Amino acid sequence: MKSFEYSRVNDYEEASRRIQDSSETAEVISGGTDFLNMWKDQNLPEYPDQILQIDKIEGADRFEKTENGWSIGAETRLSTLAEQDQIPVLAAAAESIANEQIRNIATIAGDIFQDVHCKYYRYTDFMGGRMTCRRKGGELCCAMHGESEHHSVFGGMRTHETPCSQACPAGTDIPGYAEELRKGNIKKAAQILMEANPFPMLLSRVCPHPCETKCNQTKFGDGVSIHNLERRLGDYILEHRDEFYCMPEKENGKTIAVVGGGPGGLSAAFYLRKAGCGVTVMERNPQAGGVMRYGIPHYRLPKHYLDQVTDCLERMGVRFQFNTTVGKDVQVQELLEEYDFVYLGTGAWKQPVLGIGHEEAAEFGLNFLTEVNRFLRKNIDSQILVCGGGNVAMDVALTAARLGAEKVTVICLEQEAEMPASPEEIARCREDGVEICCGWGLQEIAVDADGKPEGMLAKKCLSVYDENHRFSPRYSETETKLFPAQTIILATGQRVDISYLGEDLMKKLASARGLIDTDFMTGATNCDRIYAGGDAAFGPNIASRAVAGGRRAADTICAKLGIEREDQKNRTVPFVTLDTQGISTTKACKELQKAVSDRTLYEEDAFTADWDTILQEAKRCMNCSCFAVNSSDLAPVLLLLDAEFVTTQRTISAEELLTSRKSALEVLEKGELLREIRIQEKSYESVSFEKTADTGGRQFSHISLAAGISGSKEHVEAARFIFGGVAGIPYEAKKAAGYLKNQKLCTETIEKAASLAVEDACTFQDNQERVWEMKRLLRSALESVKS
Amino acid sequence: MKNKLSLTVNGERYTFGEDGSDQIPDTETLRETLHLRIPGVDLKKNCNRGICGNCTVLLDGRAAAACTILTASCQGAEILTWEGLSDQEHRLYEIFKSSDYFSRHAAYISIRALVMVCIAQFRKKEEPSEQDFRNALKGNYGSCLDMGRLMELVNQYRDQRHKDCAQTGTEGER
Repeated sequence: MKSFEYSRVNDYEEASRRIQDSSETAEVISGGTDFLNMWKDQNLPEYPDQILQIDKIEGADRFEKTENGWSIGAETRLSTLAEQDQIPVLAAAAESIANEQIRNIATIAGDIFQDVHCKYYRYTDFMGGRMTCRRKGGELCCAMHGESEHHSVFGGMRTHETPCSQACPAGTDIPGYAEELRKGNIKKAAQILMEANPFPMLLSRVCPHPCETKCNQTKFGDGVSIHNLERRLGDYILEHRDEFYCMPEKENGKTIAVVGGGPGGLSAAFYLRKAGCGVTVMERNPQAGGVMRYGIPHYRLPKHYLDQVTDCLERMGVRFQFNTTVGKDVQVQELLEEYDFVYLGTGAWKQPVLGIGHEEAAEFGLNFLTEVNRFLRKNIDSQILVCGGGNVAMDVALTAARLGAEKVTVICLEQEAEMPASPEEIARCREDGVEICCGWGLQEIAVDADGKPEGMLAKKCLSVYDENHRFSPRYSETETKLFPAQTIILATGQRVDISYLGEDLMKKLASARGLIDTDFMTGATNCDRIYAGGDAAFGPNIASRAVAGGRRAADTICAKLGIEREDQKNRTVPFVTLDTQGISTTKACKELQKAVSDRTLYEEDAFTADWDTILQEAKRCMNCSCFAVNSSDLAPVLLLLDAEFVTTQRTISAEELLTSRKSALEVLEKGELLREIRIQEKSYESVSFEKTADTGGRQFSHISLAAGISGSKEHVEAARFIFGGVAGIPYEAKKAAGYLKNQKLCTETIEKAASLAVEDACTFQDNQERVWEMKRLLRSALESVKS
Repeated sequence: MKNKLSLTVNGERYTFGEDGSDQIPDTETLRETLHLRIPGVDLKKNCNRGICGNCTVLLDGRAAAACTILTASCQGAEILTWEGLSDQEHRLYEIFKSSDYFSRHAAYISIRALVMVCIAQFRKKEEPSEQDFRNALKGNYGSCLDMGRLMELVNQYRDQRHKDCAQTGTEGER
């Protein structure tokens, strides 16, 4: 059992200082009953080295009448609160907690900041190992598929980023928009999506969606088909483009040059323009889109989508300068003089040198695609060999097959499960008759007398990664094979070329790897006004990471200019909900595709799913969150009384402390301690506190209701109902309260209020009883109102 | 020295961490200290979560669950355990024990806990009211307790106590 060092501290300032200064972890306890139980049970999320007990601070245990209310010391014992008769509702709540033996030790601050009493969260570490539930950083809340009797009936609380959002390089709030889809708010869903990804209609078609492989539904069946949701939403956004790509409300007069019109550059341009900056995109090609336009075949991403996106951005006021090569037509130094900031999103276009014999006889995959995509035709030999295992290799192979090659073979180093290409693309290649040979490393290109290739000599690859999962292929020197082909296309990756920066600037900006040395989270480079992102900054990777890079750089620039991004304002932590029936569907929706015989080079293979399918699929998202309920019985009462919390640093309202985050502790800064609770005299005629069952030691997560009603039975002037133990934070039944305003209390109105109070409930199978209990409590509170 | 600690248990003073006597680790609970280090005190581990009430002691006059208190936080405290109750106070236990209500429910209810909580009330006030008892007993297996029956028993004890006091009072006068 992990030990700790105990000391008693008699001063708030000293305790604060020791928490902040300590090189070891220090934690404050008040009564310490809850901490000690968790410590004994060994189920603490973290084990502190130092325990500072502050319950005997002078004057901290007091209950005083002040001029227009009361002042309660943070370390006031619950029994003191229970014995006082000035605030009866607080006494009733305090009295209902635990037993006298605990009430004599435990304090009001301890009650407010106590941890949840979920049986999974509090499962001891020493029987069968630690149970890493969602709240402790695990993947799923155990109550979702286990017993949920004592869990939330209003949905969960986000504790950590969901695995899908974590896996998404752009950090899209996937469960967030899925939830809005379930509620039918398509526009809101699209807005959430566009907070991280301004071009879902493009990315959903080209992204290998790492999110889907990390989705927690994969534990039960297929992952949620996230790219289908995004694709449908992307098309919706294009259909309503005026709502989503609109001119900024006001210009801020700053100008930014974006170098490179690829996904990263366009993303930076979008967010910066939205914030009101003047944005000019320099693109060396005649059209925007970068790899998405020139590297990805039409059957995966029809180019009219890129035209539409370019058009949308132009309508927002983004200026494009096509056929402008930075480094040749204009220098970065000149851009710095002309513009306030420069964003470099130049990507990775250069062919890497592999060092195999007769390498010059082969063609470069990206060049091949660029040429085909420009002219949609190319003379092609009958036998083609594509080298590489990524999506570019798949694109090259499939394009070659559709151009009319008789036999297309792909050889790659990895075994199929390790191939970087997405499974859909591999399957599509196979359907078109492409042969994929896994586990071969390139040795030498065999050429004839004229230097024309005859085939590729390959050696067997035994393993690609070493035990630390680092790329370090091992080959068999004896087992080799000749793959005959007239055309060999190398699609084994691309390289970054930043020589366009000019020698001086390159020296300043380049990293050891020959990339632009860039901070991942901010996009800042070694030069003050230059930002970068995407492949040029971090090496070749998928488009969604470039989009994220563009957004991060735009955010940093905006922050520097003092502009707040609109969607980041008013971010509160609401409950997250799910469809408790829908999550049990294990099969994902099927992507609609053309018949293999109908597939061409020019038209898209797959279709966008219809709304019905999409809404069904959105119901499969589990919205992975924590379903533990708030266990403080005093919190609903303090909320009802609009208490003010005085800490060592500031005064916090009850609303903010008790309902703005998943636990009250998170609202406080490190080392910030609660000192005092102030309660004003309130003008409710009837205030009551009720709790299911009398009290009881072991059974936690009772439902409690703090109700305040002004007016009389004949005419309710105003009402407020706050439930405890039904959701992650105290739950205010606003609909019921709103309905009762100016009503007479009779059987019908009481019944109506009770059903309104639980209208938004989202229950599992075994916690429906809690909903009935809530209604019962509300009825009994209303029936006790005097006439 | 940091870990020097003194407690008064049932009227007797104990000092730890001095002159080679046992030091009490910071993580030790009061129940452990009393059970293991104080001769004659029996506080076996039961639920160990402050719920059952078996380890109830009077800490500076207030009922408290010894298993959820760190001994290190009790420097200088005055502690009364079950063993320290007077003969007269023990009579409450006899009354509870002999009642048919408890003989039927004894398996679920810690009578010790109820006695200690009630005695704390008697020690705190001269004449605790019935409401005082009801409030204090809340949460001690509240849902299984028949509060009315319990009050009858407490009142029975109170009457006896009065009688005893009157006797000793008159004796004193003599």
